[in-house]
Amino acid sequence: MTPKSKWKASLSNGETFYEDKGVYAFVLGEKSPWQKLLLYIKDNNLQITSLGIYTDDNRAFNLPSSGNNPKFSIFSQHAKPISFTMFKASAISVSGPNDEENFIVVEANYEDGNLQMWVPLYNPDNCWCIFTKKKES
Amino acid sequence: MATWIWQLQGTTPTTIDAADSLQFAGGTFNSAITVATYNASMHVDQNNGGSVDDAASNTPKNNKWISSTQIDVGGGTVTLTGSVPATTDCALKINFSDGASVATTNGKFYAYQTTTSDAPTGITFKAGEQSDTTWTDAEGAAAGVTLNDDSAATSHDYFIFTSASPDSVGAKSFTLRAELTYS
Repeated sequence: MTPKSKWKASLSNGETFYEDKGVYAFVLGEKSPWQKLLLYIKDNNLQITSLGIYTDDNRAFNLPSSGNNPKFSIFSQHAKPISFTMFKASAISVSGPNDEENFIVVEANYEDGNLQMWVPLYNPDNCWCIFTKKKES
Repeated sequence: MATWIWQLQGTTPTTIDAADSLQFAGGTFNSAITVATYNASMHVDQNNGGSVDDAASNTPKNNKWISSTQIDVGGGTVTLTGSVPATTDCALKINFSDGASVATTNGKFYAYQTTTSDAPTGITFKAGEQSDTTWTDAEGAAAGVTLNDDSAATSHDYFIFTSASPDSVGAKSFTLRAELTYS
Protein backbone atom coordinates (compact mmCIF):
# COMPACT_ATOMS: atom_id res chain seq x y z
CA MET A 1 0.00 0.00 0.00
CA THR A 2 1.14 3.52 -0.76
CA PRO A 3 0.83 6.01 2.10
CA LYS A 4 -2.08 8.41 1.60
CA SER A 5 -1.19 10.76 4.44
CA LYS A 6 2.04 12.67 3.99
CA TRP A 7 3.78 15.62 5.62
CA LYS A 8 4.05 19.14 4.28
CA ALA A 9 6.47 21.62 5.79
CA SER A 10 7.07 25.33 5.35
CA LEU A 11 10.48 26.75 6.19
CA SER A 12 11.77 30.05 7.48
CA ASN A 13 13.02 31.02 4.02
CA GLY A 14 9.51 30.81 2.59
CA GLU A 15 9.88 27.46 0.87
CA THR A 16 7.21 24.76 1.25
CA PHE A 17 7.93 21.13 0.63
CA TYR A 18 5.73 18.08 0.35
CA GLU A 19 6.60 14.49 1.14
CA ASP A 20 6.72 12.37 -2.00
CA LYS A 21 6.96 15.38 -4.31
CA GLY A 22 9.94 16.84 -6.14
CA VAL A 23 13.22 16.50 -4.28
CA TYR A 24 11.36 14.79 -1.41
CA ALA A 25 9.87 11.99 -3.48
CA PHE A 26 10.14 8.45 -2.12
CA VAL A 27 13.18 6.70 -3.57
CA LEU A 28 13.65 3.05 -2.65
CA GLY A 29 16.71 2.52 -0.52
CA GLU A 30 17.52 6.20 -0.04
CA LYS A 31 17.13 8.26 3.12
CA SER A 32 13.50 8.96 3.91
CA PRO A 33 12.09 12.27 2.63
CA TRP A 34 12.00 13.55 6.21
CA GLN A 35 15.66 12.68 6.77
CA LYS A 36 16.51 14.56 3.57
CA LEU A 37 14.49 17.57 4.73
CA LEU A 38 16.25 17.64 8.09
CA LEU A 39 19.59 17.61 6.28
CA TYR A 40 18.49 20.50 4.04
CA ILE A 41 17.32 22.46 7.07
CA LYS A 42 20.60 21.88 8.88
CA ASP A 43 22.79 22.67 5.88
CA ASN A 44 20.94 25.93 5.24
CA ASN A 45 20.42 27.01 8.86
CA LEU A 46 16.65 27.07 8.48
CA GLN A 47 13.68 26.29 10.70
CA ILE A 48 10.31 24.75 10.14
CA THR A 49 7.64 27.41 10.56
CA SER A 50 4.60 25.29 9.86
CA LEU A 51 3.94 21.57 9.61
CA GLY A 52 0.93 19.58 8.60
CA ILE A 53 -0.35 16.54 6.79
CA TYR A 54 -1.76 16.48 3.27
CA THR A 55 -3.42 13.90 1.06
CA ASP A 56 -3.52 13.58 -2.72
CA ASP A 57 -7.26 14.26 -2.65
CA ASN A 58 -6.50 17.71 -1.18
CA ARG A 59 -7.27 17.12 2.46
CA ALA A 60 -5.08 19.06 4.88
CA PHE A 61 -4.48 18.70 8.60
CA ASN A 62 -2.56 21.66 10.00
CA LEU A 63 -0.78 22.33 13.25
CA PRO A 64 -0.69 25.90 14.55
CA SER A 65 2.15 27.65 12.78
CA SER A 66 4.85 29.90 14.15
CA GLY A 67 4.20 32.44 11.39
CA ASN A 68 3.12 36.04 11.92
CA ASN A 69 -0.02 36.25 9.76
CA PRO A 70 -2.66 33.91 11.18
CA LYS A 71 -6.11 34.11 9.64
CA PHE A 72 -7.89 34.17 12.97
CA SER A 73 -6.90 36.41 15.85
CA ILE A 74 -7.03 33.60 18.37
CA PHE A 75 -3.91 32.14 16.81
CA SER A 76 -1.98 35.35 17.50
CA GLN A 77 -3.27 35.61 21.07
CA HIS A 78 -1.70 32.39 22.27
CA ALA A 79 1.76 30.87 22.38
CA LYS A 80 3.27 29.84 19.06
CA PRO A 81 5.15 26.59 18.58
CA ILE A 82 8.86 26.75 19.29
CA SER A 83 9.69 23.92 16.91
CA PHE A 84 8.13 21.06 14.97
CA THR A 85 8.82 17.42 14.32
CA MET A 86 7.33 14.48 12.44
CA PHE A 87 7.44 10.77 12.94
CA LYS A 88 5.48 7.73 11.83
CA ALA A 89 4.19 5.11 14.24
CA SER A 90 3.69 1.46 13.40
CA ALA A 91 2.44 -1.40 15.54
CA ILE A 92 1.40 -4.97 14.95
CA SER A 93 -0.28 -7.58 17.13
CA VAL A 94 0.12 -11.32 16.61
CA SER A 95 -1.29 -14.43 18.24
CA GLY A 96 -4.58 -12.66 18.59
CA PRO A 97 -6.37 -9.97 16.62
CA ASN A 98 -3.87 -9.40 13.83
CA ASP A 99 -4.04 -5.66 13.99
CA GLU A 100 -1.51 -3.55 12.18
CA GLU A 101 -1.73 0.17 12.73
CA ASN A 102 0.22 2.87 10.94
CA PHE A 103 0.07 6.58 11.61
CA ILE A 104 1.86 9.72 10.59
CA VAL A 105 2.30 12.13 13.49
CA VAL A 106 3.15 15.82 13.28
CA GLU A 107 4.12 17.56 16.49
CA ALA A 108 4.28 21.20 17.53
CA ASN A 109 6.59 21.79 20.46
CA TYR A 110 5.77 24.41 23.10
CA GLU A 111 7.54 25.44 26.27
CA ASP A 112 5.21 23.41 28.44
CA GLY A 113 4.45 20.47 26.17
CA ASN A 114 3.84 19.08 22.72
CA LEU A 115 0.73 19.02 20.57
CA GLN A 116 0.56 15.92 18.42
CA MET A 117 -1.77 15.20 15.54
CA TRP A 118 -2.17 11.55 14.55
CA VAL A 119 -3.57 10.61 11.13
CA PRO A 120 -3.73 7.05 9.79
CA LEU A 121 -1.11 6.54 7.11
CA TYR A 122 -3.34 4.61 4.71
CA ASN A 123 -6.83 5.84 5.62
CA PRO A 124 -6.84 9.58 6.33
CA ASP A 125 -10.51 9.79 7.26
CA ASN A 126 -9.78 10.49 10.92
CA CYS A 127 -7.44 12.55 13.03
CA TRP A 128 -6.62 12.43 16.73
CA CYS A 129 -4.90 15.12 18.76
CA ILE A 130 -3.10 14.82 22.07
CA PHE A 131 -1.22 17.33 24.17
CA THR A 132 1.62 15.88 26.22
CA LYS A 133 2.87 18.07 29.03
CA LYS A 134 6.59 18.23 29.67
CA LYS A 135 7.63 16.66 32.93
CA GLU A 136 8.72 19.16 35.51
CA SER A 137 12.38 18.78 36.38
CA MET B 1 5.69 0.91 2.85
CA ALA B 2 6.23 -0.27 6.42
CA THR B 3 6.32 -4.07 6.74
CA TRP B 4 6.57 -6.37 9.74
CA ILE B 5 7.79 -9.96 9.68
CA TRP B 6 7.75 -12.11 12.82
CA GLN B 7 9.67 -15.35 12.89
CA LEU B 8 10.20 -18.15 15.39
CA GLN B 9 13.87 -18.87 14.96
CA GLY B 10 15.29 -22.41 14.64
CA THR B 11 17.54 -24.32 12.26
CA THR B 12 15.25 -22.65 9.74
CA PRO B 13 13.07 -19.70 10.73
CA THR B 14 9.28 -20.14 10.73
CA THR B 15 7.35 -17.08 9.70
CA ILE B 16 4.35 -16.33 11.93
CA ASP B 17 1.71 -15.39 9.39
CA ALA B 18 -1.31 -13.21 10.04
CA ALA B 19 -3.57 -16.12 10.97
CA ASP B 20 -0.95 -18.05 12.96
CA SER B 21 -0.21 -17.90 16.65
CA LEU B 22 2.95 -18.41 18.69
CA GLN B 23 2.46 -21.32 21.07
CA PHE B 24 4.30 -21.74 24.36
CA ALA B 25 4.14 -25.43 25.32
CA GLY B 26 5.45 -28.05 27.69
CA GLY B 27 7.86 -29.86 25.37
CA THR B 28 5.78 -30.90 22.40
CA PHE B 29 3.12 -29.20 20.26
CA ASN B 30 -0.10 -28.66 22.22
CA SER B 31 1.41 -30.07 25.43
CA ALA B 32 0.57 -28.38 28.71
CA ILE B 33 2.95 -26.36 30.85
CA THR B 34 2.72 -27.20 34.53
CA VAL B 35 1.31 -24.34 36.58
CA ALA B 36 4.00 -22.00 37.89
CA THR B 37 6.65 -23.43 35.58
CA TYR B 38 7.83 -22.04 32.26
CA ASN B 39 7.63 -23.26 28.67
CA ALA B 40 9.82 -26.11 27.51
CA SER B 41 9.05 -25.58 23.83
CA MET B 42 7.71 -23.01 21.37
CA HIS B 43 5.73 -23.63 18.19
CA VAL B 44 3.85 -21.85 15.43
CA ASP B 45 0.22 -22.90 15.48
CA GLN B 46 -0.88 -22.64 11.85
CA ASN B 47 -4.10 -20.67 11.54
CA ASN B 48 -4.36 -20.79 15.35
CA GLY B 49 -6.27 -24.04 14.94
CA GLY B 50 -4.28 -26.35 17.16
CA SER B 51 -3.74 -29.02 14.53
CA VAL B 52 -0.60 -28.08 12.60
CA ASP B 53 2.75 -27.00 13.98
CA ASP B 54 4.25 -24.90 11.21
CA ALA B 55 7.64 -25.03 12.92
CA ALA B 56 7.72 -28.80 13.37
CA SER B 57 10.50 -29.45 10.85
CA ASN B 58 12.51 -26.35 11.74
CA THR B 59 13.73 -27.31 15.24
CA PRO B 60 12.38 -24.12 16.77
CA LYS B 61 14.23 -22.34 19.55
CA ASN B 62 12.86 -22.22 23.08
CA ASN B 63 13.63 -19.58 25.67
CA LYS B 64 12.88 -20.52 29.27
CA TRP B 65 12.88 -18.14 32.21
CA ILE B 66 15.06 -19.46 35.05
CA SER B 67 15.49 -16.36 37.20
CA SER B 68 15.50 -12.60 36.74
CA THR B 69 19.04 -12.83 35.33
CA GLN B 70 19.16 -16.37 33.95
CA ILE B 71 17.81 -18.15 30.88
CA ASP B 72 17.83 -21.63 29.36
CA VAL B 73 18.06 -21.56 25.56
CA GLY B 74 18.39 -25.33 25.28
CA GLY B 75 21.75 -26.08 26.84
CA GLY B 76 21.01 -25.51 30.51
CA THR B 77 20.99 -22.44 32.71
CA VAL B 78 23.14 -19.49 31.64
CA THR B 79 23.39 -15.92 32.89
CA LEU B 80 22.05 -13.11 30.75
CA THR B 81 24.86 -10.92 29.41
CA GLY B 82 25.38 -8.56 26.50
CA SER B 83 26.04 -11.58 24.28
CA VAL B 84 23.96 -14.28 25.98
CA PRO B 85 21.64 -15.24 24.50
CA ALA B 86 23.13 -14.73 21.07
CA THR B 87 20.81 -13.31 18.43
CA THR B 88 20.49 -16.80 16.98
CA ASP B 89 19.33 -18.18 20.34
CA CYS B 90 16.53 -15.66 20.78
CA ALA B 91 13.26 -17.37 19.92
CA LEU B 92 11.69 -14.37 18.24
CA LYS B 93 13.10 -12.33 15.39
CA ILE B 94 10.94 -9.33 14.54
CA ASN B 95 11.84 -7.45 11.39
CA PHE B 96 10.57 -3.98 10.52
CA SER B 97 11.32 -2.64 7.07
CA ASP B 98 10.46 0.37 4.94
CA GLY B 99 11.24 1.20 1.35
CA ALA B 100 13.15 4.25 2.54
CA SER B 101 16.05 4.31 4.95
CA VAL B 102 14.51 5.25 8.31
CA ALA B 103 15.70 5.50 11.90
CA THR B 104 13.58 3.75 14.53
CA THR B 105 12.85 4.93 18.07
CA ASN B 106 10.48 4.24 20.96
CA GLY B 107 10.28 0.53 20.20
CA LYS B 108 8.32 -1.63 22.59
CA PHE B 109 7.37 -5.33 22.87
CA TYR B 110 4.78 -6.77 25.25
CA ALA B 111 1.87 -9.14 25.76
CA TYR B 112 -1.69 -8.06 26.48
CA GLN B 113 -5.14 -9.49 26.93
CA THR B 114 -8.02 -7.43 25.53
CA THR B 115 -6.68 -3.92 25.26
CA THR B 116 -3.03 -2.97 25.06
CA SER B 117 -3.10 -1.63 28.61
CA ASP B 118 -4.26 -4.99 30.02
CA ALA B 119 -1.80 -7.54 31.36
CA PRO B 120 -2.43 -11.02 29.91
CA THR B 121 -4.84 -13.00 32.04
CA GLY B 122 -3.78 -16.11 33.86
CA ILE B 123 -0.16 -16.15 32.83
CA THR B 124 3.13 -14.60 33.81
CA PHE B 125 4.89 -13.28 30.73
CA LYS B 126 8.53 -12.31 30.60
CA ALA B 127 10.68 -11.04 27.76
CA GLY B 128 13.81 -9.14 26.88
CA GLU B 129 15.72 -7.87 23.89
CA GLN B 130 19.03 -9.50 23.02
CA SER B 131 21.77 -7.85 25.15
CA ASP B 132 19.38 -7.18 28.05
CA THR B 133 20.83 -8.55 31.30
CA THR B 134 17.50 -8.95 33.10
CA TRP B 135 14.07 -10.18 32.10
CA THR B 136 11.17 -7.73 31.91
CA ASP B 137 7.65 -8.52 33.11
CA ALA B 138 6.34 -7.39 29.75
CA GLU B 139 2.64 -7.43 30.60
CA GLY B 140 0.66 -4.58 29.10
CA ALA B 141 1.90 -1.55 27.17
CA ALA B 142 3.18 0.36 30.19
CA ALA B 143 5.46 -2.53 31.17
CA GLY B 144 6.78 -3.49 27.75
CA VAL B 145 10.37 -4.31 26.85
CA THR B 146 11.98 -1.13 25.54
CA LEU B 147 13.61 -1.91 22.21
CA ASN B 148 16.88 -0.25 21.29
CA ASP B 149 16.75 2.70 18.91
CA ASP B 150 18.20 1.91 15.51
CA SER B 151 19.97 4.18 13.05
CA ALA B 152 18.75 4.79 9.50
CA ALA B 153 18.34 1.64 7.42
CA THR B 154 15.70 0.02 5.23
CA SER B 155 15.53 -3.05 7.49
CA HIS B 156 15.63 -3.42 11.25
CA ASP B 157 15.87 -6.70 13.19
CA TYR B 158 14.85 -7.08 16.82
CA PHE B 159 15.82 -10.29 18.61
CA ILE B 160 13.54 -11.09 21.53
CA PHE B 161 13.82 -13.77 24.21
CA THR B 162 10.47 -14.59 25.74
CA SER B 163 8.92 -17.06 28.18
CA ALA B 164 5.49 -17.70 29.67
CA SER B 165 4.13 -19.52 32.72
CA PRO B 166 0.48 -20.37 33.48
CA ASP B 167 -0.81 -19.08 36.81
CA SER B 168 -3.61 -21.66 36.81
CA VAL B 169 -4.81 -24.76 35.00
CA GLY B 170 -6.40 -24.40 31.57
CA ALA B 171 -5.57 -23.14 28.11
CA LYS B 172 -4.48 -19.51 27.96
CA SER B 173 -4.48 -17.13 25.04
CA PHE B 174 -3.08 -13.65 24.81
CA THR B 175 -1.71 -11.29 22.18
CA LEU B 176 1.84 -10.17 21.50
CA ARG B 177 2.54 -6.69 20.18
CA ALA B 178 5.47 -4.73 18.81
CA GLU B 179 5.37 -1.02 18.15
CA LEU B 180 7.82 1.72 17.26
CA THR B 181 8.15 5.13 15.71
CA TYR B 182 10.30 5.90 12.69
CA SER B 183 11.22 8.78 10.40
